[in-house]
Amino acid sequence: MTDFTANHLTPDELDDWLAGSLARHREGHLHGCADCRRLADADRALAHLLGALPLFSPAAGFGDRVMARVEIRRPARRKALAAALAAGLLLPMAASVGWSLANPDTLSQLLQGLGSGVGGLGLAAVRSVGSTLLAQPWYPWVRGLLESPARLGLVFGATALAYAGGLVVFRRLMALPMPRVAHVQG
Amino acid sequence: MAKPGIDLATASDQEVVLEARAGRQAAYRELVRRYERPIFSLIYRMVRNREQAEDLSQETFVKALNAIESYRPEYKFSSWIFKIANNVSIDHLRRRELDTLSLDGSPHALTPEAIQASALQLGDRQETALEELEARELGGEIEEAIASLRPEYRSCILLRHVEGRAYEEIATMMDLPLGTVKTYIHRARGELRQALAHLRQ
Repeated sequence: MTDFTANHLTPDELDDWLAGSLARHREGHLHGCADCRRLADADRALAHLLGALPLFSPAAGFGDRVMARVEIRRPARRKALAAALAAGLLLPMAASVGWSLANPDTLSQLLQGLGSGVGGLGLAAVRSVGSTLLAQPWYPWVRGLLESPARLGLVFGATALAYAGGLVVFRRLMALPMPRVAHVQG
Repeated sequence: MAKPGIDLATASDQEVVLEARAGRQAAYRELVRRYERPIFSLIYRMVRNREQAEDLSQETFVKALNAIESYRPEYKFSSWIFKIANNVSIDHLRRRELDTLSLDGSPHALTPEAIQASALQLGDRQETALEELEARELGGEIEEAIASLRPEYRSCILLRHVEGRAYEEIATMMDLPLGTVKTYIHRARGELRQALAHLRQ
């Protein structure tokens, strides 16, 4: 004899039943269990009541009131905005190039002064990093690893794979199912 | 790309949106025409005040249409605008909750007399003729039962059973995990079943 008091339909199964997709073996339980039957009938009646609720209309002129506050952007206007932005970037660049061509000596002096300062600092930084690396206990092991072409290839391959894997993971993390619109600025 | 002069009445939402993006005013109007009743109904059932529902519905459309460039056509336009409407309603209800007087009196009241004076008296409410009319319009025990639900349950049950949206779509609209949406809807159904049990009897 089947024990209908146990293994009642879950809420998900009640949903399936409302949608007409309840598994056949669970239909058997539903037919035999008075509790589940009562619940399912109540849910169906409720879904029917909710589905039959009327739609309300806003007051007349609603569309006009909305349209009065909507800013319709025409593509030509958007293009003009993009052109203005581009001009804002390009004009200073063009002015800079023009000045450089007109004052080559001043520019050269400036670059030399900057170059010697920056170059000296850069060289000192590279030397410092290099000597720190050479002093590390694992440096001979890494050097040995890179001396064989086969091992070098293996290291490059593994690095490339790790990089590609990282890119895939990053893309998945960044992919949103929907644009976030909760607080779109009007 | 939609052709200019496309028949807006028969075009899909996506096509109408493309027309709107091309700067065609009639396309904006068509989107308002298609969704004004469903959006207004959802918001009205959420806030239960016609004037506020009108304002919030307007705010929904203005936000959506002014940001039409950020809508991605691979998703349903209806999901997008319902999501905005839901957020606008929930934000409004939260603000209104903050403005509501406590049943136990104002937290700023210092004396027992002041606490009693600032406490909300349930029998005090004087309904205006308009409010009575609204109550009749919303009327019915089903509407009252929906109104008694928590706002989150209310949104979910309305989107599921009045708008006929899929669970996954509701989860996207409400920025909630699918399991949470299912739980909300099951609990809302349970509360409604209880509230309306006498109708079945």
